[in-house]
This record gives sequence, structure tokens and C-alpha cells, in this order.
Amino acid sequence: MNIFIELLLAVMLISVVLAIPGNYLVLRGNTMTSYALSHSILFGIMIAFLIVGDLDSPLLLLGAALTGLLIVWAVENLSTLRHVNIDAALGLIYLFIFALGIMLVSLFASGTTISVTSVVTGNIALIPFDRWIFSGTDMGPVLLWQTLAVFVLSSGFLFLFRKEMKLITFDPEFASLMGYNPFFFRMIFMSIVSITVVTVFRAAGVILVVGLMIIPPASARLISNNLGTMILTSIVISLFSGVLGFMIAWRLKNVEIASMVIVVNAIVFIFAFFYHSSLKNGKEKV
Amino acid sequence: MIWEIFGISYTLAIVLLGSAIVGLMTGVLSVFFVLEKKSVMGDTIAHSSLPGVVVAFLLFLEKSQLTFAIGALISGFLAIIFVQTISRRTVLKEDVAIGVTLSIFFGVGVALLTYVQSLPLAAQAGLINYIFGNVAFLLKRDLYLLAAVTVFDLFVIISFWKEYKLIMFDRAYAEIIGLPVDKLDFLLTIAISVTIVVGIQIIGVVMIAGMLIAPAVGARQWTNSYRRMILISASIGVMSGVLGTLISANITDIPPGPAIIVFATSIAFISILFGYRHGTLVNWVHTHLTHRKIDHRKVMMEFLKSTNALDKSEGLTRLEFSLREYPRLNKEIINNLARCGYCKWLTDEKCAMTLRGVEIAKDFTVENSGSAEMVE
Repeated sequence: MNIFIELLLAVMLISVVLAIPGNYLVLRGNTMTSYALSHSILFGIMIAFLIVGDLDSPLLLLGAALTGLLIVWAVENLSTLRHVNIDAALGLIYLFIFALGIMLVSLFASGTTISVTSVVTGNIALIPFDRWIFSGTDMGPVLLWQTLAVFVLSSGFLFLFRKEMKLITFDPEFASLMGYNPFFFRMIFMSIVSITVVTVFRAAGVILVVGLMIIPPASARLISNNLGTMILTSIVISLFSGVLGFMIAWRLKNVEIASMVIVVNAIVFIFAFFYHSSLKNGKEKV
Repeated sequence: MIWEIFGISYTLAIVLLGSAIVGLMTGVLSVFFVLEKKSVMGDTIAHSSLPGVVVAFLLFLEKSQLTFAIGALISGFLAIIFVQTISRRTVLKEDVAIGVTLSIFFGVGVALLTYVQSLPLAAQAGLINYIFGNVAFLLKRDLYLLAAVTVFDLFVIISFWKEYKLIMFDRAYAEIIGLPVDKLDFLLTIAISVTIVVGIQIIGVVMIAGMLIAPAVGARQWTNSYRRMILISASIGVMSGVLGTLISANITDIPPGPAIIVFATSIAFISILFGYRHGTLVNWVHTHLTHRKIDHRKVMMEFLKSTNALDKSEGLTRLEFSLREYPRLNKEIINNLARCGYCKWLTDEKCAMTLRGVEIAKDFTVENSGSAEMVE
């Protein structure tokens, strides 16, 4: 495989693996939690890196995922205090952890592939240089396989528990009356979200990851009214924006790929918005 | 000169002055943000100012604070309009609208920034510093812009002091008595946006949102007064600005934005724990004391119910220690009451109330029921 194909595959896979769980975040309306989560994983990665001393160790993934869950838990607890509302609690915690993470990166990460800039903007172009050599044969970029594994894990979970997830997303009170534990499912779901973010953040950057996660489902929500259709639409949109954004960035050569994908996604979103409002106006006239 | 007394260079003196001013302004304005529960708006304006800065650079091809500020202001306002349009006219929730807007604007900003960096222009160097802030490029003329913005902010807040106070605490009433609430809101939004866009040079687009939350959340834990909250919040802002900049100036690898935010948020967390008014620790002690007081009263009233067993000769009543149905009532409470002379242990399981205790308990019953008949 040449670099072009590998990068294209990686962009498509990353777009889809982020967009699928994004649907549930958009429907629950807690996208800012995922925003806080994606910012905080950097701290977990750096702490694990300082302990293990190796940037490719799977323990880093664990450390980051644990930090992510800790943040979700801390935000929910801090906001139960009087005189601190949930938005402020979220901002305080994620910015504190993110600032610590950035300080750790600027102090200890020199000479690694993580830099203060790449944390924010991402660097997809580096993917093909990190290869998985399995018993002598070159199997392709490591990140491609890691993302594939995460894809199988997350879509497997969301498919197996689609009924439960649907119920918990739309009516958590009813779900708990039916005997399901919304907290348990939410924590598992959030773990999957943080594993996904941890896997791909080096390619897309901590802020753009959130965009790739929620813009395609938000556009999909504007043009569909059914969970199944919405997920399918979001996959189609994310693939389209991924491919088109990648092509443009490849042509322009120097624009960061992930941000170009976001730009295409933004255009799709604006089209979806106009479609949505024309639909609403049309209904009102009838 | 005065900075030489402290043994710091001229450049550092300028930078410290700049970050102190930014800390002061963000500290003051964060009070309005937090009381209005609009903290996410700060995130939106700050993140969305990135494309404005880059476009301003592309148009004029020079690093000028003024054009950057205007560019950032325009894109910040566009982002607010974007959020409002999405959340009003579609099925998407406000939180989703904010998330989508924020990532779109920031994505466009990064796309433009990476494009500009590839251009063969010497002037583009350092534009990336707008993400986490930089103090190295702060010049004396930048201080004039900061000073102008400070004067504007202080003018807005001081001249509409009473009006904003009323809006913060009772918006509906302010509307009813005919205050132009929408216009005042708009004026405040302008003040905040202007402050954000001049602050991003030092603190950076990602971190400045923290300066609009942390100082006020910290200040809220120490006081209930509006004026004092603003003063405390401003001091927290100045303190974190100066300390963070000092750290960043001494350890060159660390950008000032994260260092300032670590200080500001740490002060906020410490205040949440130890704050004099609403801190968790004070609240806990207060709740604990109140519970104890209520427990004591409950036991006393329980004693009073058994006054038919009053033993006049010794001035004591008798009550079996069988208060198991009240989980909080235990030997410790009886011990406390005994220490005050309200009751007396007879055996391990039995205790009795003194006459003084009966008087006190009667008072409680009067307080609680509001009628003296129940005591008789």
C-alpha cells in the first residue's frame, strides 16, 4: 500500500469510529462532557508516560481512559455543590487538567512525537511512519489496526446493547424503572468514548476530535428523525467529509488534514441546517 | 526605575504589567459570567477568535494587536450568532450547538493557521503562539491597547454598577421596572469580548476561558457581597496572572497560558474546599453542628414526654435509654447533655433529666409548636 491509500483509509476509519458514538452524545446533549474528556486525557497519557517511559505502551491508553472517567465523575460531583453550577465546574476541571497536561508535555515530551502544537492541531500525516511489523512482515500502520480494533469494540457494544442504549438515551428514568442501570451503561459508554479519543487524538488533536465526533451526527440529526437512519446518515456524512477533506488537504499539501475534514463537515452542516429550516417552514405553511 | 528594585528586567516588567492587567479585567468580568451562568460562552468566544486572528493576519500581513483584536472580535460575534441561530431554529440542544460551533470555528482556524505557516513569510512566525499564549512578543505599545480596554471595561462596570447588580440578582424585576436589560447585556458582551481578544495574546485562545470562570468561582466561596466578590475575583485574577507569567518567564518551555490557568483553577479549588462562606469544609462543619443541635433537642423533647415519671424529691425524671428508633441519638448525645447539666446518668441504660433540663426542653417545645398549651 502506498502512503496515499494508507492515509485515506486512516482518515475514513477515524471519521467513522468517532461519528458513531457521537450520535448518542448529540442526542443526550452532553457534548461538552466529551469536550472535557478529550482535553483531560493528555494529562493521563503524560503521567503514564512518565511512569512507563514509553510512548507506545498500552498502559498509556489505560491511564488516559481512567483520567477520562475520573473527569466525568468529578464534573458530576462538583456540580452538586451549591454555588458552583455545572458549566463552571466543567470548565474549571477540564482546563485545570488540560493546563497541567500541557505543562507536562512542554517539560518532558521533547524528543517524542507529542508536542504542544500537535496536541491541538493533530498530525495525521505521521500515521504511515509508525508501522506494525508482525513476524517479519509489514502489516501497515499501527494506528490503522488500533483504530480498527476500537471500531470493532465500540460498534460491537453499541450493536449488542442498541435497545438499552436507545432507552437510556431517550428516557433514562423509564430505563431505570425497567431495571436497567443508566449509570452503569453511561460509564461503559463513556469509557468507550475515552478509549476512542485516546486512540485517535494523536492524529486529530484534542479539540478537533470533538468536532469529528459531533458535527456529522449533528448534521444527521437535522435531516433524520429516527435513530437508525441518523446513525447511518452520520456515517455517510463522515465518510464523505473525510474523503473530500483529505483530498483537498492532500492537494494543498500544507493544511492539517483533520482541520480540513472539519471545514468540509462545517459546509455539510450548513447545508443540513438550511434543509432543516426549509422543511420546518414548509410544514408550518401547510 | 522601579522594576530595578525588584531585580527584574524591563521586558519582564512590561510583561508582568500586561498579565496583571489582563488578570484584573478577566477577574472582574468573570463575576458577571459566573453569576449569569454563561461560562460556556467564554469558551465559545475564545476558541472562535482563532480564525479571526489568522484572517486579520492574511489581510494585512503584519502582526498588529489592533487588527488581530478586531478580527477576533468579529469572528467571536459570528460564533455567538451561530450558536443562537442553531439552538433557536433547530432541534439541536444548546449544548450541541455550542460544541458544533466551537469545533467548526476552531477547525477553520487551525486549517487557516497551518496554511499560513506554510507560506514563505517571515512575519507568520509566532502566530501559533495565539493558541497557548506568549509573553515574549508583548511590547510597550501593546500595553496602550490593554490600558484602553481596561478603561472601557471599568467605565462600563462602574457607571452601570447598580443596574448590573440588579440584573445579576433579579433579572425579571429589572425588566419589570423598565431597565434596558437587553442593551445592558449587549454592552457587557462587548466588554467581555474585547477583554478576551486582548487577553489571548498572553493567555491564548484555549486557556482564556478558564480566566473567565476560575476567579469568580473562587471569589464566590468567600463572600455573599457583590462588591467584595468583584474585588476578591480581581485579586485572584491579578495573582494568577503575575505568578503564571513568572513561572513561564523562568521555565521557558512552559507557555504562560497553562501556567496562569493552573494557578487560577488551583485557587478556585482551594476556595471551594476552605472558602469562608460557602467552602465545602465550612459547610460541612456548619451542617454537622446544626445536626448535633437538632439531635440534642430531639432527645430533650423525648425526655419531656416522660415527665409523668417526675421524681420531685430528687428533681430528676427517669427515661430508659431505649432510643434505638432514632439512629442519630446515642450515648454521646446524652453525655453532651449531661455535661451541660440537663440530665444525669443513673445506670448504663438509664438516664434522667434535671429540672433545669425540663425548663429548657419546654422552651424548645414552645419554639417548635408555637403554642404553650402543648407544654402543659
